[in-house]
Amino acid sequence: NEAQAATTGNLTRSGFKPQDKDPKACDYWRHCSIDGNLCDCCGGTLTSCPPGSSLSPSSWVASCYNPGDQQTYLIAYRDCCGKQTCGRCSCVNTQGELPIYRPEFSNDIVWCFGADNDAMTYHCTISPVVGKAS
Amino acid sequence: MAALLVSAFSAQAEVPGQLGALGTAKLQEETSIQKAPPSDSKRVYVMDPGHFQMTSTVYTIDGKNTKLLGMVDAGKLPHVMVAGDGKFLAVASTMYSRVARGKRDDYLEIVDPQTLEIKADIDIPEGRFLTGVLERLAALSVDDKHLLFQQFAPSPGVGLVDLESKSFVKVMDVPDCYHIFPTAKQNFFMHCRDGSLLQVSYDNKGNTKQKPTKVFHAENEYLLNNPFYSNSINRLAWPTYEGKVFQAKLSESGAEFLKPIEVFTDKEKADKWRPGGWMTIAYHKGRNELYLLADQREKWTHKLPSRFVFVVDATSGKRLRKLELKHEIDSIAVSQDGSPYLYAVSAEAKSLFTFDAVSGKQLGTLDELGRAPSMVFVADK
Repeated sequence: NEAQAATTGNLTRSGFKPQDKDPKACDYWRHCSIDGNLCDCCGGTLTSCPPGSSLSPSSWVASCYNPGDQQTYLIAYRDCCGKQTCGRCSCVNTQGELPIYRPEFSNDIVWCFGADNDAMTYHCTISPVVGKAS
Repeated sequence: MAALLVSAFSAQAEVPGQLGALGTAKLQEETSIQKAPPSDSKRVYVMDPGHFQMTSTVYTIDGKNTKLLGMVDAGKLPHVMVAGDGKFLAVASTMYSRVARGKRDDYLEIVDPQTLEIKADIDIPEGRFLTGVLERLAALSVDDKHLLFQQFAPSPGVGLVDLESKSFVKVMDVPDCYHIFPTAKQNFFMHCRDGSLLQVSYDNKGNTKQKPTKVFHAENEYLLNNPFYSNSINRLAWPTYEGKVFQAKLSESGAEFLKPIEVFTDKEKADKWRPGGWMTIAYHKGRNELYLLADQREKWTHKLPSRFVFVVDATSGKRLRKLELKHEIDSIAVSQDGSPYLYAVSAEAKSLFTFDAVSGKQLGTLDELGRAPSMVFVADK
């Protein structure tokens, strides 16, 4: 629902409470360690980049719990790059997020490494599943 | 009418070229460009990266009166560094030729803290580590003669810039280590993935000697991304997600690790007190006090703002004060003078709040600071 693109379900100090109904909300289960903007609100989808941006092959990861099937999945957050920050559906979650010296779990990094045209500018982030986490 | 205007303005000796005499009116009042007062111990800088925007703003503020003195423009995710004596500001930036695409250009600007004019513009390789800005991923050397900046990809490195000759020297190879904590005689330390520090000494050409310290924290003790470090006394104070503060005194002869401090009591830990925010720790040298930004929070909410500051003696860890800031604060800093101020910035409120660091009384507010101001810097001396 584009009318509700403003982020809902932002993280509070009482912790991340995932839902599996609305992927454009900050508390959607796959976004448990996202930092930036949800591509779904920027012309992309949950797993695809908006037109005109470059999809980075590099990522940070997190294990996110899906309340729908009570399973935990590894999500590889990939950035869509080469455009100005999208600005819609801003969202910062930090489930299992580790400091910069553990970069594979660190979401402050602009994860645009390897994007076409050496695009290193952050536009938004997608939340594809890599596999089950154990 | 045109002829009348021309004759009225003909007395002007020089007029802007693109406008001509027509639009250049003679005024009854003098106009000028302001100059900020000299930097003092209460000078403070607030940086707004605007949630990863292509341009950022550095707000130059007189902390005594909570007054905005001027602004410095910067590019994407810039690093802001204040010279030890406050005599200049260094800003490392990245810009692109076509807004967010095209040719990348990384550069370093040296800014006069009174005129805010750019005193030097030094080209550096396009290798700055672009992250939500961590204070110590770039640093001035202790004598302010060099600038060091971290490279992450394709491999870890530290770029060396000679500020006297205004030229880039070399990217020095380092192992899997992060942050830059300079000490005297062309040394700096980094914190490595394995839990040790790495001591690096370098010559003017960027040749290095490197030596690791012992491992000083466990793999499951996570050190927050913005430690406190002072270039003048080479004191490092580094909180974990759970409020344990590791400290070290660094020098060219090595690292002296101090006994870690637990800021929270067992009861407070059970009540879920944890540090949180962006720049969560500050230190006052004269009073030997550590300031930790904290709140009651669940695990894994470590980047959300906090409403309290716990003040402890940096040697004994004894609790001295608990300040209630009554705002959602992301970052703190403390002025180093005898009657220190606590500066607290809120991205949500887009404001800087000033407190008496001893009484905790709020003294001032400066609002409308961009889109998401999240970092605050003070002079070290």
